[in-house]
Amino acid sequence: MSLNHHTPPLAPGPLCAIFTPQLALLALGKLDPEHVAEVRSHLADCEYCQAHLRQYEIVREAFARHVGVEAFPSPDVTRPGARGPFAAHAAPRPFTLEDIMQAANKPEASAPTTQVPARLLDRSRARRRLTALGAIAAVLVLAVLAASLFAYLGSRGLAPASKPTATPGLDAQSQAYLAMLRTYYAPVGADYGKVLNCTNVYTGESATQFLQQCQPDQTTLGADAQALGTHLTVTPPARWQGADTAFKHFVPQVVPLASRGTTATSASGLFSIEGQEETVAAPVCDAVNQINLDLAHAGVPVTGLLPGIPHSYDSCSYLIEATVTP
Amino acid sequence: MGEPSRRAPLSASAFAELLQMTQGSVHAFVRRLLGSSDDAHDVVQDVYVKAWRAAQRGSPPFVCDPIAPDGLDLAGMRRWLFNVAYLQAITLVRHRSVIPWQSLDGTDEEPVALVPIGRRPAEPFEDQVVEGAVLQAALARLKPDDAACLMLDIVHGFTTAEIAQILGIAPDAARKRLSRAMERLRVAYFEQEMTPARERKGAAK
Repeated sequence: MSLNHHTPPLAPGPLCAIFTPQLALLALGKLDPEHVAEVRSHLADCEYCQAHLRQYEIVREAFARHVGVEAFPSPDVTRPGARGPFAAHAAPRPFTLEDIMQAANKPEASAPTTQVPARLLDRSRARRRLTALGAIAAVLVLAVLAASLFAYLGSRGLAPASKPTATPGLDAQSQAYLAMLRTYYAPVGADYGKVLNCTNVYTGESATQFLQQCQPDQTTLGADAQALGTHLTVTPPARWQGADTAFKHFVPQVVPLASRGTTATSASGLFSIEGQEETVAAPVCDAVNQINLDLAHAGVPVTGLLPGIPHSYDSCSYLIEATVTP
Repeated sequence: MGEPSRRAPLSASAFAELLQMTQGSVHAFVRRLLGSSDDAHDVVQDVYVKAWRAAQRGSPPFVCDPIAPDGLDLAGMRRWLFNVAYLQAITLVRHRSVIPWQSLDGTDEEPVALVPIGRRPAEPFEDQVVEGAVLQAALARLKPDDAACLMLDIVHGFTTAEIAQILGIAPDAARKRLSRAMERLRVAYFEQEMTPARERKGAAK
């Protein structure tokens, strides 16, 4: 058995666009009963959807097999030398009522339910080794946020074009490449932000509303990505060769995806395309971060950095979230 | 309008039983979201401390419910625990959001190596270790919200309505999120050609 055996045929039938979005729910047993018979009737004659459903089932079965509920180790296998239920480096063991009562006797913070225990945040911070490097990171975070904001405002015509002039500390080749990115990459980053924002706003609304509101962003994204692709002829400096490769891989993938996004006929179809757009953008996030790091080292001001590609929980949006989270 | 009659708080022994019954699954859920057993342990502790305090105050669902067959709203308590655990974990994930900046210390600066398009694992796929590794790599590419949704459904067996309550969204939104999460996982699972090698390596840890 190989992964390839589960690849659905490339030619869906005319009705598949209607039924494929429901297959995920069918595989999870979450499809509304009134739709099940209809979907099953289509499945009986459609190899494309049969293969699609099989893929969902394979993924669901793998999920159930490998993402189970792990049992706690029994207390007698707790690492020797560990004292008390919360001892550092002790293997986690199940809590007893006494443990919980003891912890509950400590003063209760007047905090909302969602507040994260301070010790967790402290540990998280300690892990990040935010020493001198952390200070640099913090500056860059602010820089990227500001650059994103400028790009966003600029794309909406709310701010004057803030295209920096020649940057001291950068050679002519880097300046030329950077100028190209500022002109043609920055709108793509802003487009990703709009796609994410629209999805967040209209998730839970009707499929029609979601498509009406969010599909136009796909048109813009496709056009801006296409424009970036045609201008990736500028030779990058050697240190940005990897970034240039990432951009060149990215464009021919995102353009057809955005094109499909503009013609998606179902909400789940557009969701799926947006997910793929996120995936293909991940290397660009790394590339932009690398370039911004170089620029910061070269003394480029905040407004001269490139915007990230904002989408949930990837490295680019992390930078933005980190800035707004105290 | 008369004051609603107070129901009796959950007894200590009932709470101990609840703790024993549920903490394993809550811990597993949080650990998957946080990627750290130690941090999950702390979150779980905090969740049950909150639950204990709620029980002490006689706040629902930690009360003896005369309507429920066994006097306890076990499903409600389980939803409450997962809801608080989810909110704590997702908040912590967002607080940790600067983790990518670890690369600034120079330990993680090798260029992103793209797996060439069209490359797939050539080995047979029966091996569950491989299947597990592929799934982990695919899961690593899911948003925490999507992963949480799938875990609540596939692993913990909540209904769509319960998932909606736990995640704090409308039932329709929960259904859409489930569908979207499954589609994203399917795509990530079967189309890994574009996964950076570094990312996959990290996810397979």
